[in-house]
Amino acid sequence: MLNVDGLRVHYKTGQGLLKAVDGVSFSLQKGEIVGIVGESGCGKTTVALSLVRLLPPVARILGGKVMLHDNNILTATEEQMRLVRWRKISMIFQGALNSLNPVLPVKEQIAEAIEAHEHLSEKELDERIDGLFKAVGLDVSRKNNFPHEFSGGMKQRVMIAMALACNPEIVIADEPTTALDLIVQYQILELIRDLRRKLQLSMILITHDLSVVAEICDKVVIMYAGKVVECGEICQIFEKPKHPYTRALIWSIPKMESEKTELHFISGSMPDLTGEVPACRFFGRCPHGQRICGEVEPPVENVEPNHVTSCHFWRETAK
Amino acid sequence: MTSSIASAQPIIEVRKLKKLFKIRSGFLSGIMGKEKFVHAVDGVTLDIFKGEVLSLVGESGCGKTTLSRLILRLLQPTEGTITFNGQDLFTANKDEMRKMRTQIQAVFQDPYASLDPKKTIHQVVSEPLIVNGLNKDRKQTSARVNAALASVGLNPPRSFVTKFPYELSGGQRQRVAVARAIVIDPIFIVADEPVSMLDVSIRAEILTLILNLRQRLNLTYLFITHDLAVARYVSDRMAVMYLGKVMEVGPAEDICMKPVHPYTRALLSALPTADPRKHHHEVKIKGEVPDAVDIPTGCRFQPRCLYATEKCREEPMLVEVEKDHYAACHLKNESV
Repeated sequence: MLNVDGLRVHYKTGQGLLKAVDGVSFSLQKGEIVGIVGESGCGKTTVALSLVRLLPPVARILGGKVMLHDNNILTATEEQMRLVRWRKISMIFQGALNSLNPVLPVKEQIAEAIEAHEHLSEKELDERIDGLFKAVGLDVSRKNNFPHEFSGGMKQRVMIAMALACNPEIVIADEPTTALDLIVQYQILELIRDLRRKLQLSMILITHDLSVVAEICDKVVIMYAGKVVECGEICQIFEKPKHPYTRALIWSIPKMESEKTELHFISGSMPDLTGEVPACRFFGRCPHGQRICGEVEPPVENVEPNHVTSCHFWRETAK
Repeated sequence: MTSSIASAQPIIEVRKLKKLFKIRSGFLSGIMGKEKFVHAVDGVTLDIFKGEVLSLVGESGCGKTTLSRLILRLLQPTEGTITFNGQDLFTANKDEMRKMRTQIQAVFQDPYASLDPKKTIHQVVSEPLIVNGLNKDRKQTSARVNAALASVGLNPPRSFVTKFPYELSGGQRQRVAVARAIVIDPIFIVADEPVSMLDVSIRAEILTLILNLRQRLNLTYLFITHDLAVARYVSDRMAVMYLGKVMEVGPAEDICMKPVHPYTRALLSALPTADPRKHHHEVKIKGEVPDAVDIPTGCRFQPRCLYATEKCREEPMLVEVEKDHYAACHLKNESV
């Protein structure tokens, strides 16, 4: 349904070009939830913003294709994009629960989102909003309330309702549970699972938290410093990770159910993407790094069906 | 991470501690004497033993940070006492206080906000020495700063002292914050969400550092976190707070593996498992955290508890359910 191929986005900064996203490819099928995981600065939010073409003015899309069905989003006109945004692809922005207008009842804010894209009669609008409230598990009688009368979890539900307002095919959620407490996070994840089942919704979930991905995603894209290092079905990634970075990420999560084990960590930090970067971006932090890793960019290789990785030594290092 | 390091001697004793914050109310309710209060900490009794890492877990608004601020004496309690090595924190005279100040240090959540951007790393780390009047000899100050930086793994210290915080990564900054806490040779450190702002790959590194320093420098920690998995990893004992009260406290492994309180159980079951094949179990809780202004009567968890009975209209006390494991629930192990 959605196919991202070789996406490259750079930012113009005072220190030079920042290679935020440098050749990212993945695809999303109908009814699927794909997670994009990586540490801060790996380019995951830039990928998301490219899909709805809402990048800041300093960003340059240098290459690649984003195919939604048969249309390339990257070459669409602004006019065409208006038809795509919210009706085809909608987005829940990071920290958006604090961006609700405090002086407007939430109902009006959802109505605003709908009216910007569709013309509905008063009655239809009301019905749509009631339906949305029910779908996200909010009490319809509270639609005239103001944002401050809602808890964090309820505000996130309002944001999800807003994203669903125009029946989109794809919803992109950028860190939808990061600011929420554990139990509320669980409830929101349940809601997402539920919506996917009922509406056959396709989602892209952007997060730094691998355990959230393990909960609800079907596929996962692991990003590091602007590149996809590994991509595959959720069980493939968690059970047979091939890239050293993926393994390090999985091992650095403290486990709850099993015996207490030593935690692993990755020493060093991500390379500065404005300067010279090693051919394999993980070179320097990688325990298996050899000379070739600094000189030749590792190719994207098929490990098994639907599972790709980009490492010179994935055969040797993966257990 | 053995609990054998911890002795039975409490370094901090919190007794019936309360901290209420007055909230602004209308003029009328003001003169009618109907003042409203946020019950941030609402009757906490807790010991922290020498050499242990006690973690305080709970959702936002449960009072864990307020409790830590009271222990740091950044806030005055409404009621109750805290003693540090047997000495009351709030009645101590100036000299006693000065001494205690050097023994208690803190590491905060956000290493981007907690380090002064205009100060070099040397200035940042030497500050506790200066404010406590321990910088008599410049050479000695330098040596102490360098030793602290080396202890937290910023090697060689020489190359860091002249840098500014913006030149360091998030993990390095948090190391500087830890160096600043240990430079004055404290015996007790309050760490308030020290890894929650860091990326996962760096988190483990800082946690390992914190545990290593505990052993090397004989430190005791109060570790505040909302992340139960992190708490299990670092702590000997865990205390679970809800709406200003400790609901359950005990050895970390017991709390995680054999939780007693329905709230602790709900928290643990809400934790995402990093295992895609595990089917999620149901989280047994209803509703949302009530306002800390109108605390439910009786057991404060009762309105959200699926097991609540008549008994729960009375407030439960913390009682020992197993060795060193206490829970404030009438049901204890019975039907839960």
